[in-house]
Amino acid sequence: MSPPVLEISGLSKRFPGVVALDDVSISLEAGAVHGLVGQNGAGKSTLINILSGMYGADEGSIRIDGRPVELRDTRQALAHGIATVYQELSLLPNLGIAENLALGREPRRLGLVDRGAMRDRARAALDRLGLALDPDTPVSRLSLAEKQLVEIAKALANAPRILILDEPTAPLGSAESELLFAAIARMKAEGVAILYVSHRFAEVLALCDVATVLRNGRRIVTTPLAGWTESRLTDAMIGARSERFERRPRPAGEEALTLSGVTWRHRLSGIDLVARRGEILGITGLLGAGQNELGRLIGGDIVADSGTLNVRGRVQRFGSPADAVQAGVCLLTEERKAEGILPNLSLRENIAIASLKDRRGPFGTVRSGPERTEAKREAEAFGVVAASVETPIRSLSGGNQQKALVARWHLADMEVFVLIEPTRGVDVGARADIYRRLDEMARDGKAIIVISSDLVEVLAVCDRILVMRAGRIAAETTPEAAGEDALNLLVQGVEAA
Amino acid sequence: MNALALPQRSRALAPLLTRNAMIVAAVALIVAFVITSPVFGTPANAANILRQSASVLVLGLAMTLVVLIGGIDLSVGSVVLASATFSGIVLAIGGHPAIAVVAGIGVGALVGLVNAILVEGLRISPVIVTLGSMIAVRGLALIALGRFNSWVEIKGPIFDDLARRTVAGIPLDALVAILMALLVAFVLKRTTLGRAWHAVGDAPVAARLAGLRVRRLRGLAYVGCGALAGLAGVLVAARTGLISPSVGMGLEFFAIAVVALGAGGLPAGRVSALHAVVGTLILMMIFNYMTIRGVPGTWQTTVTGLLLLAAMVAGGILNRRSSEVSTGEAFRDEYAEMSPAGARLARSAVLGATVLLALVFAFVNPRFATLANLFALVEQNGTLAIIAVGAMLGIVSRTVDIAPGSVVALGAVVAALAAKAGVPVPLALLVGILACIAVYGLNGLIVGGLRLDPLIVTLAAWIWARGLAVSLTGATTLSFDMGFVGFMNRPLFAGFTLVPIVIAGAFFAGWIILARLPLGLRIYAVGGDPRMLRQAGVGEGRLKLVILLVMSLYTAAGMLVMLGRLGAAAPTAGFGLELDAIVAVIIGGASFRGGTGRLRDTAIGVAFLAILNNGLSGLQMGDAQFFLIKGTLILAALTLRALPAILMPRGATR
Repeated sequence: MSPPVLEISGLSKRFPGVVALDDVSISLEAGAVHGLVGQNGAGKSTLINILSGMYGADEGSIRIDGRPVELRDTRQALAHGIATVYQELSLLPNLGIAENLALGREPRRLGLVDRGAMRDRARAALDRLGLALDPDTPVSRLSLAEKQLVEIAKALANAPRILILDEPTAPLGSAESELLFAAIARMKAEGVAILYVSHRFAEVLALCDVATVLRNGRRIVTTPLAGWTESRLTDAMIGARSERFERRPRPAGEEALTLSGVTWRHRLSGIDLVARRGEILGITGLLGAGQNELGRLIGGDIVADSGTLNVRGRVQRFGSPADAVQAGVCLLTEERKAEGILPNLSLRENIAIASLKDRRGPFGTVRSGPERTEAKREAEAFGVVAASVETPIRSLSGGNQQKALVARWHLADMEVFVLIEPTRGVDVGARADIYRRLDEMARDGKAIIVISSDLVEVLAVCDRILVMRAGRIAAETTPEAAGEDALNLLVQGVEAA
Repeated sequence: MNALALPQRSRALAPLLTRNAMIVAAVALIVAFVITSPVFGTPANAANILRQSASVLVLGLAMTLVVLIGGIDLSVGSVVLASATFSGIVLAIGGHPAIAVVAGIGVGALVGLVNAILVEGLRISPVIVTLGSMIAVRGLALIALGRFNSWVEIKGPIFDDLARRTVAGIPLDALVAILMALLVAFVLKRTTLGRAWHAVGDAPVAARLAGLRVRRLRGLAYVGCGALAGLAGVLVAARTGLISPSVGMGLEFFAIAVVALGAGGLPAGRVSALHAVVGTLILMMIFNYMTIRGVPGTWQTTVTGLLLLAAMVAGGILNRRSSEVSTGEAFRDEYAEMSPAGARLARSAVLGATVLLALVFAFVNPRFATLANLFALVEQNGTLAIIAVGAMLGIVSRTVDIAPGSVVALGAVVAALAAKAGVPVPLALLVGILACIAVYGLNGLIVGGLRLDPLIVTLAAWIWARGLAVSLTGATTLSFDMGFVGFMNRPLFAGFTLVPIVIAGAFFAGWIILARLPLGLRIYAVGGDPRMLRQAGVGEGRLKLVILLVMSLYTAAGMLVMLGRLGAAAPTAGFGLELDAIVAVIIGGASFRGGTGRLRDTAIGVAFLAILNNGLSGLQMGDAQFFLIKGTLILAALTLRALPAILMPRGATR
């Protein structure tokens, strides 16, 4: 029997404070679709990035056709026939489809780009997907679904032997998804090995021959999918989490924030919601369902096109995060490194930055005594582990950075906390810590909105859960009414049920 | 449980040295200079250094503010002239010296406010805005000075004290500068404003989400920078005692250099008053030592630029090893994404403005709309048109080069020197071309190898290449072989010389590169999103080197055209050329953020500037009016270009 097309064994990758991949082994066979399933932070993205040459692994080996290979950069990965469709779109909007498909491997004649060949190649790749698009169309004119399909065509244009698809159907409707599935079937018949990463279990069950479940960087199981159901996959993905947080009932108080009829571009429509003091409100949904945009809108990062936003009975219009903060609403985004921490500033400065005004001395000075004691107090109250409050925050682990950011807003005396993916990239211990602080703050009368695609998280910490689909709030439930299975079905949408 | 009590103090020497490398360098310099020169260490010489340092330090502090928030201000040298001029005028018309001081500082703050509005309000790149205000403010000051026969004497109690009094052996103006350093240090370290500025410079997006009003804070830094530059102007006025048109020339070089020398680069969010102090000391000690050793003053700018480059390279290497993270690229600039309708509107607005400009000139000057003048217009602006194509390649690929003006001068000087030394003319020209390529090659290696922002690297070349042109010629103009001049000016067809052919060739080559070469795709890709290029398996460092080398060919061609037209190599030639070239591309609709731009739109931008240059010179006005009107019109055109972007943002993406 011939060796598997791609065989990875004992792959490990560590980031500061987190083990992203821990001794993972997977093999892909020619002409088979291998599903990869796991929660956010389970290690899927890390695995994809290593296979596509974006960064190297700390340990482990990768073999292609039985021969060990090194994937030091993307060029080598491509040369070995590995093509990747990334979750985020990676097309250049100002260039045409053909040009996007050719980037890096332009067909040449006498040193010049052979535009005819370039167009033909694009045409062929689009045909393989059954897409009737003109290769000269600028990408900026395409719809989101078309862009995603072109993205897939880009991977096909490489004539890959190994194709990695990361949540390829997230922006697609069912008709477009069918195009993709048909293409996958053809590729399969041609003997391509496919790694299919998706949260949509119905697809995984329908498409994949074999699936691997990752949890906390470890491989839980690799199994043929015959006889598997969505709920069995859910169980394997989530597992009996040891850090499961015991939620005690909390009394909900008065309304702290209400939205009615809020829309934003094509991504949010007709949003009505109420967040109460003393309550943790969860908002969840699949990738791209609009929950992150909703969080950013409440926090003033993006401005609603229509609808009203009401904080403690006053109609507000947030033009910037500064306006939201003035009204007592704060936002922690999922991009902690780029949008949360001030990396080179100290822990003390990071905690104090949102409430500088409260400690202003004569001549606009910072009253450093109170600042130090208060920052220290908050850091301790939120369990931030650091050598001292003078440590630059960039040297702390993700979990400690996140705690410091929550502490920042607690010190600034915010009323409404919006947290997007609050425990992404946070280790297990810190995760439980953060849940405990959120619970305490809710009991303290704060209104807390947790936006997360991690179902266990939402079920563990929230009193009420809103489920978003395609920019709308599609359902409301409670942890008592919905278990993991039921919530997963709500998230996946009716057609998946 | 006390979570904060983990003992983790490591006292490694290396990071300490890294952080204070420049202080170590300054001390080493002092020791070396004292040992090798008996004069250097004397108290009289020390006072001398302090005196020379005063205005440079205040300018360095001004620059510190804007570098801290992730910006830059190239207009500080012109502000010094304007401030000195207006305070001098207040004195000349009998105003109280205190009012004169306030006038000087006020002029600076006002310029800072205009910069702030354009940079933060209209979101135009600070490099472009302050290059524009550098020219406009200089023009304004020269006009004012012209009313007083181009020189104003400074006399008055406060000014005389500043120039002559010493307190405990320290010259009074140096004392003022030291007090300013303490004040800036106090504001930056101890006040809420300083803290907010650090946050904004360190991570603007995070600072915004932390509830800070980022644009307002950054704008305030420009105003503060202007006011301090105004104060520096007052000090310069007191020290020189006589305001002439050359005051403040090149001071922006020194201001940038002292910050970079102290901080090892221009790191947003991390520069401090101490950096400016250390940098000023290093620079002024070196100048002083050079003077003692008999090195001509014309070498000062060269040394400044090379020190700046060395500091940035050293900082780049050290930073690569240290754990400091940089989030924002230097001088981050964002044209808001424009909707297609907005882009069309902006394009037609610029086209309309170009036509309008031509009509106005035709109306006020009967000789403008003649065939002879059309020839002149093309010939005059040949260098600009050629270099604008290179600038466009640079802007689209986010490899902005602000050195072409200086490199043109250097290349021409090198060619002229070679010819003078007896090298045959064609070979001499080749040597000049190679000089241009060498500068870009060096920049490319640094940009590609150290991943430094091309803007900063070419900023150093902007200074040192210009300085080298001045130094090599001793600030004189060298004549060039008349045979070549004759060749370049001989009409070939229909009254046109070789120049239009070269221009057409430049545009044609640009079209080939962008539309027909694999390089063109990569130029758009690296400017649009370097991540995508990486996914496609193309190395960014090498690509940037290649792009800069291509740009060097355009600069070299521009140099040849200029040399042929002028018939001489002037070290001051090509002054402001970088601004013209960048502005032509930006007015033409390319985004400073890279990834977009069309060659034919650049042609429109070039036409606008060519008509402007030709029309203004046809009106026989002085340099002063020329600078003022040109600078103002450029800023107006940029505003016209930027407004639709803000009023009609793109709807589809965030």
